[in-house]
Amino acid sequence: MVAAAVAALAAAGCSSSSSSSAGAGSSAGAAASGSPIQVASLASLTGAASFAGWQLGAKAYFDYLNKHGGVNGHPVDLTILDDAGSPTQAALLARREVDAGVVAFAGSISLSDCAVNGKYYDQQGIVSIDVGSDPTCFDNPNIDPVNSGPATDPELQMVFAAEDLHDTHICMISDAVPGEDPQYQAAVTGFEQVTGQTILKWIRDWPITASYAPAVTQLKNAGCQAVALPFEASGAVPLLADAQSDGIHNITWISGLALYAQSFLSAAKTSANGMYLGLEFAPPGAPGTAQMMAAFQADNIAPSEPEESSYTAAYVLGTVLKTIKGPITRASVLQAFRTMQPLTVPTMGTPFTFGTATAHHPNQAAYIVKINNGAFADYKTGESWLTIPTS
Amino acid sequence: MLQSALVGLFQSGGAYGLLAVCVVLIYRTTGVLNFALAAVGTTGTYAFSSFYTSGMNLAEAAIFGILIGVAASVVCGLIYIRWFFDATPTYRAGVAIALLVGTAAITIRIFSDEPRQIPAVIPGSGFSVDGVVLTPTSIAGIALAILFTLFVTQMLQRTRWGLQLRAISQGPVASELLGLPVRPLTLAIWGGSGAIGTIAVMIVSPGLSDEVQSISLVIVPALAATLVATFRRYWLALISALILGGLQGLLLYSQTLIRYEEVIPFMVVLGVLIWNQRRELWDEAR
Repeated sequence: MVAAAVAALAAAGCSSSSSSSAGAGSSAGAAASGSPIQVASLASLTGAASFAGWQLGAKAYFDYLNKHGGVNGHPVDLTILDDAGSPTQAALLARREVDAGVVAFAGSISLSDCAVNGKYYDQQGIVSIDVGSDPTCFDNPNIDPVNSGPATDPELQMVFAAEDLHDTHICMISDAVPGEDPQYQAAVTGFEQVTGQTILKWIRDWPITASYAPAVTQLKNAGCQAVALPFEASGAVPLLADAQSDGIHNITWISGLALYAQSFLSAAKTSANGMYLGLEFAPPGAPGTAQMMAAFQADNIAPSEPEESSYTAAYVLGTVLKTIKGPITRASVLQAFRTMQPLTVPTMGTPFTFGTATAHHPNQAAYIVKINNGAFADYKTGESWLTIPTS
Repeated sequence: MLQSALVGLFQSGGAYGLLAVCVVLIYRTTGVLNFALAAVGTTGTYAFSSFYTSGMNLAEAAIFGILIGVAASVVCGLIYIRWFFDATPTYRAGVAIALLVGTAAITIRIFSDEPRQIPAVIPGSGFSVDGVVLTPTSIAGIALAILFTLFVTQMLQRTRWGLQLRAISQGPVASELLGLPVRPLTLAIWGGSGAIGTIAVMIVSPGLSDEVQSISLVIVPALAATLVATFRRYWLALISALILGGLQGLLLYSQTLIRYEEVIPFMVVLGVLIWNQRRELWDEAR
């Protein structure tokens, strides 16, 4: 049976019972005034694939932290850097910031940061609590991503269909996105090992310029009861519209974070009703998100998953920084992460871990929401976290 | 397997056919290989979608969307007439590619890249043939492509305007010196092609990724079909486009061949070029 991470959620919702869910600063109410702690965030804010706006969550966290005492009285100075999607620029900026004295990176989301700077971070002994934009972010001892990654998401979606919806004819369709197919293969393998089921049909490498109508026909004719749909909204909207115009009502569509946006609901209209989404972070308003909502409100940010991801990364860094006794340096930060206990993070379904592992993948959960009448709703009140069973 | 081919034929074939015949018409009458036709159609279709979302009824939204497509295409035509009337085919092709990129970029700027559902221009659930649901829009697409081809061929052969257009295609400058209304007729062709391009994109886009770049590139299979038709034969362009639509649907059925689906139009282009050069000697063809 799928185990919901009730303990994590309960701890997150309790405002004073653990260090992770306490206020952002250790001395709430007094603004930090000591010497600043330098932190950076590297992102592809412009260029071919823009993550513009994603950094606002990290900024909101540190703003909130600084207003509430900072890190033991020291404010955190966050520098946001734009590599414009260029690997060269990503390498140059990372080296410049390390030379300038940053003690860690937080909330980075770049097309090439993990790939081109991973080894460098390892050599320099610098920690990056990353959002996790590509598979290389999940394969480095010094980079720890807060999102669940391209393999865990579809695996959780299929496990949810099997264990919670009790479907036996489970399918998946995946786009032809370079580098992602091995992740989807890992998802299918994991799903089959965990549930003992065999995936009924997997349409892989669907061309992003092709019509989705033939795919819908194939899924219908295969007899799929549930279909994992690790798609962006640009592909999900026409696919769901095709399914609706074909009169298909007996397939349950399950997708992820990318569709958790009002713009998706507006575009998909009634075709998305009955669909489930597995979110990598607790949605705004869920238990444990009160501090995040307050931080976002203070910075006038509309809460959504991109901002939440960088907020979560910043939260992890800020919380660990506060445990450091003595000077906060690159080395002391790395040491603190290597010796930390699993950290309950209000916006994550599984504890954040670092330790001495050579690769990290702490987020193994999804917060399940259902789309009802054009709006997002909790799948189960108070028990919406779904984790991958360990056996 | 045949189901997938049928879906491809009806979902894309009609739109490819409309675009292909329209490309041949523009090329034969103005000398421009219009790469931007589907991009202009995307502008009109996005306008249609926006009008409909803002509360306009479907028919009115479609008409206004087509008019936006016509306007965008006329602007492209004016650019050609004003600055590239006597340009060489190479220049004209280069300008067409610039217009493709420029139109797509402007469309994203105007309408944003927020997800959108492009409504079926003819609503209704359609009917099922061997497990394949044929929507009214997809059937209308095929019918419209056939009717448009019939109209173009008859218009060029049997009307005064057709005669004038054929004369212009042989030599625009000479035709202008002889007193033919070259520029108004050329603009009319551009405007009409904007309408057809918009209708074609309206037909095909509900099933496609809603990204402007993806939709604008439906011109690629249409261009492959026009090459098969040697940029001259309207019916052959239509038939080639329909076959390409079905062939793409067929490849989408096979998990082994699916990754080559996007390559098919380029393979067709390459195949036709090699075939056309088959009798050339090395030194002469170089």
